[in-house]
Amino acid sequence: MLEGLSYFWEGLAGFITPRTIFDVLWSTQLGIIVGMLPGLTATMGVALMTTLTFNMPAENAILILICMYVGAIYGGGRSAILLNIPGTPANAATAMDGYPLALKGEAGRAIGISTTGSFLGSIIGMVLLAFFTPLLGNFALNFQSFEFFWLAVFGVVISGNLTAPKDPVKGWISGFLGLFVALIGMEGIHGFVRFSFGNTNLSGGINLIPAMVGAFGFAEILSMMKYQRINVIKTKIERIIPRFQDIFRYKKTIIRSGLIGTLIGAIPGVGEDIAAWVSYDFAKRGSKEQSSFGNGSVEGLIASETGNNAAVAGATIPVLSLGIPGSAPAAVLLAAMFIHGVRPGPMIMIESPDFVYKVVAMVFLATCAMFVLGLSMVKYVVKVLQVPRTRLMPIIFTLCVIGSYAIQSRIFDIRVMIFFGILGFIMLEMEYPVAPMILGLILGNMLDTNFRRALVISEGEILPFVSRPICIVLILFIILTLVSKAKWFTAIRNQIKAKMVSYFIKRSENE
Amino acid sequence: MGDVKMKKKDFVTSIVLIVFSITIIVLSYTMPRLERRGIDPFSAPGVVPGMIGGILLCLALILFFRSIRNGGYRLFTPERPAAGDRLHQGAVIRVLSTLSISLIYAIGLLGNSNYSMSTGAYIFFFICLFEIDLQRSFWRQRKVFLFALLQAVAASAAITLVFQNLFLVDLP
Repeated sequence: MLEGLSYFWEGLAGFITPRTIFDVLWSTQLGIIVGMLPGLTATMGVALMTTLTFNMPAENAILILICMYVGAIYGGGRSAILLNIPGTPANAATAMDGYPLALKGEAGRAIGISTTGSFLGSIIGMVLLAFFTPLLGNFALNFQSFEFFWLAVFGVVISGNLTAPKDPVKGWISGFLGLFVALIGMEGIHGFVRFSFGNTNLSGGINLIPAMVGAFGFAEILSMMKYQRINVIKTKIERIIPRFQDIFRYKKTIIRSGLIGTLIGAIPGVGEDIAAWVSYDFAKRGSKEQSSFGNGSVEGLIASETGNNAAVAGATIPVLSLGIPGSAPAAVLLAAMFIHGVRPGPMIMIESPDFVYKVVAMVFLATCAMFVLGLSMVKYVVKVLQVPRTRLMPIIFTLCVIGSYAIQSRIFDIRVMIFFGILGFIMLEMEYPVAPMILGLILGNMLDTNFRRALVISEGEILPFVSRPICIVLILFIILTLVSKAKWFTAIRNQIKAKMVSYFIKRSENE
Repeated sequence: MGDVKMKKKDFVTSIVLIVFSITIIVLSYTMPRLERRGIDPFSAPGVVPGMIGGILLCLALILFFRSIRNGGYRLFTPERPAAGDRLHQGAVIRVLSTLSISLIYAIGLLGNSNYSMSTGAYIFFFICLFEIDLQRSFWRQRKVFLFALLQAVAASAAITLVFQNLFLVDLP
């Protein structure tokens, strides 16, 4: 623990240079702007920034990406409050109470509260990141090929389940499609080229960054251009610094939302939007002012903003300890780490434990910058919302194109970006979530090599896959996830719940 | 209305996915097992793709039977025009316009013409495509043209400079 603290201070001290502070400030501010603009998501921002920072030193590049990530998730709350349009999906719950507050003429207060909530959520997430990453990393050292196989399956299944609440089957299809796409090209065990059909570009596999820029960038551009125009409301923004009572009164909600946000963020492929909704839901259930939720509740606003920003640090926990992303932007972060020669995963606590705490320091710096920038220059930055989409989108598209090309200087990557953009748009239209596909694209190689390696180790025996303790736990989780939305399962669950309630009522009556 | 359309879409998608997953299974099955190289059959390259193809086939079949149960197979049943249909048509035109101009730029122009010129032209025509009203006289909309031109020149010059000189990218 003390060793971790010393790594953290060392990392933080290393970052306190004029150049780094400048990088932190501009990238966080850019993140806030990207997050604010409806249609530009955190994933798109981090993916585009990866293409712009790929020839920087690893630590600087990762710091900039984390600042962009933290800034974008926070920035989305601005448009949720001022336009009733969440800047990123993570801020949908923020609009529920932020916009009603703005309509009451309290936009400044809402921005101040959301900034403080995001700051505190991020700090709670950061503390848990520092605490749980080494624990999870050390635990994962017990994992062998059998466990890694099930972990990859679990990631795809739970991501599909939670990102497609209306129809999990579509989420799972998306995830398994991603796993298939990851298998295109030369495989890692025998060097055999699969599904390339003689195309030399395909034999190198599908590069993750162009695929992500397409799926989250170009697809979003097409989705945004569907709508004719967005009406920008002109709201007076007065006092922004929040009152101490506004925050202190909801300390329990903040702590609870921070913990929930981090936990949900750490579940593979789930992300900040679910974290915000679950935090909001818990806050509503536990609140004494339930009727004010949806009508400008300060507690609701704090809960959603604390939850989504805590999820940023939460999503980084599995990135560092397992090499599995907790959310779509974290998936890009993971890919960027690989590009820069950092290999996150169970071995990280043995190979470079200092890096984990450097990431904690990066989250801390990004959080501080977000807090300072979030409470200042609000009136000027909000003007960005008035830029018409028709003038912004062509520039974003040219950046998507050149960004995809720049990593390997291949025209083929532009085509990959376009393909995934069109596929992502069709998937959105058909109500298929895109995040599980991207998670599948990342986990495909892990699933493939570990499954085959495990079969070789066990000489074709299936038993070790289902008899090892961690495997059993993962299989149970997968089965629970698969059946959780089934009608018969919900009926059984409700029956058990009703029986338990009646049992406890009888017991209390007898007493 | 939207729900019925989605069932029809699900029906079509499920058929596409069934064909796709069967293709994956067949291709995986016909992949060499590399026995001549003395390789363990369990580590053959087609094992995992075949398994994923199988799972995709099961999921696609679930989608297929569910959409049949919900009447999604009635693809050509006429529907009453909804109030939002005109809006929907406008959205389709906007998406197709965006897609067409973007494809012309990214696949047609890049690699075949000067990068800065192509990028500038793309930005200029994109803005004009969505901001120019054909019903009004061009002279009255000269500010839109001027702004589009200025933005196109500034943006393409900035992107070219940053990527070529700062990131040392050999532009397409």
